[in-house]
Parts: sequence; C-alpha cells; structure tokens
Amino acid sequence: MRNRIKELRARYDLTQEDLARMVGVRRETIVFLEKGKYNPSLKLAHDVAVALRTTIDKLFTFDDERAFTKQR
Amino acid sequence: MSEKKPSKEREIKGAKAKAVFMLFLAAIIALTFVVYAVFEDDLMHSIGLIAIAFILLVMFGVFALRRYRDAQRGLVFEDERSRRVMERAASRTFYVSIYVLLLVGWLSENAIDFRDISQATSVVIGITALIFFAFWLYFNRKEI
Repeated sequence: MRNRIKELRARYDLTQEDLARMVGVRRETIVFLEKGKYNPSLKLAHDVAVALRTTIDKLFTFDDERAFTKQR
Repeated sequence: MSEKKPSKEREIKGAKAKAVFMLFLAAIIALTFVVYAVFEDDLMHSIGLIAIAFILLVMFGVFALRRYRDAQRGLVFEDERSRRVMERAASRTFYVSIYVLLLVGWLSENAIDFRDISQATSVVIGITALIFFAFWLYFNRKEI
C-alpha cells in the first residue's frame, strides 16, 4: 500500500506531530503510516484524509488495485 | 451551575493521572522487591532483587514520564495501532506462557529444586513478563 501522506503534509506545512494531534493518534502511528507499514482502520484513514483535505481513494493506493478492477 | 470541561482537557487530565498512577504502582512493586531483598539471607540474591527493583523503577519511570510529556503536548498515549500491538503481543504471550508453565513444571520435577510453589510461580510470571515485552518490541517494529 502506498500513500501521499508525506507529500500532502509537506504541502500544508504540517509536522508529523501536528497531524497526529489533529487525528488523535501517536506520532509513531503517523511515521508507520507514511512508511506504508501500518494498515489503518477506515475511521483513521478517513480522519487523515479529512485532515489533509483530500479523500481516502486519493490518499491511499494499493499495489494490487488493478487485480480487482473488472476488465472492460 | 457547574461548567462542563471540554473532553480534550479531560482526556489530558486522565492521561496525566494514569502516568502518575503507573509510577506509583512501579514504586510499590520495586519496594516489594527491596523488602524481599532485606529479609533474604543470601547476599547475591539480595543484590539481584535490588537490581530487579531498580530496573523496574527506571523502565516504568521512563514509560510514565513519556506518557506525562505526551499528555502535556496534547498527544494521546494510546491509539488504534498501539492497542493492536498490545493485543497481538498479549495473544502470542498467552500461547507461549502455557509451554513455559509446562517447562517449569517439568524442570521442577527433574532439574531445578525450587524452594516452594510460590518461587516456581514467580519464575513463570517473570518469564511471561519478559516474553510479553519481547513480543511487544517485535510487533511494535513490524508491519501490522
């Protein structure tokens, strides 16, 4: 799973601690999220997306996304 | 009419109280070890017990201090990831502790001469605590 958290965080000039405070998690959780080493709950994914003024599908992309997409 | 405090402030206050309680609990446990050490006949055992008390106090102290500092900065100490790590570490520890119990039971019959059942139980509890700590470290660094 890849994500754009780091990129969007930099765009809005937010530190990891700022984002952690905004969504109510530990700073370490943001670190692991950015590295793609933590699969967040739907609620946390939504909260992070809202904090970064985007949507979940624009924030997170899955490597095997195409495997589930119906061929047209 | 009493004014209701905002939930965030209450949360921070609760986290601070938990940190202080954790330190208090660590102090009681460490004190128990020191009391045991004072009444222990063997000097090496006494030194070992005091060393355990010291390590426990330092570990819990650092943990409580971090918790207190995070609370002051408005950060939560527990979140969904830390809870997930704890749950995984606890469930693995449960399975392993059964084997530890069996092993200590076998050792008490065949290899080690425990003073009494409470000493054997203390050994099992100590090993289980170490296993939990090892699993916690492992899952805290692993992708979950």
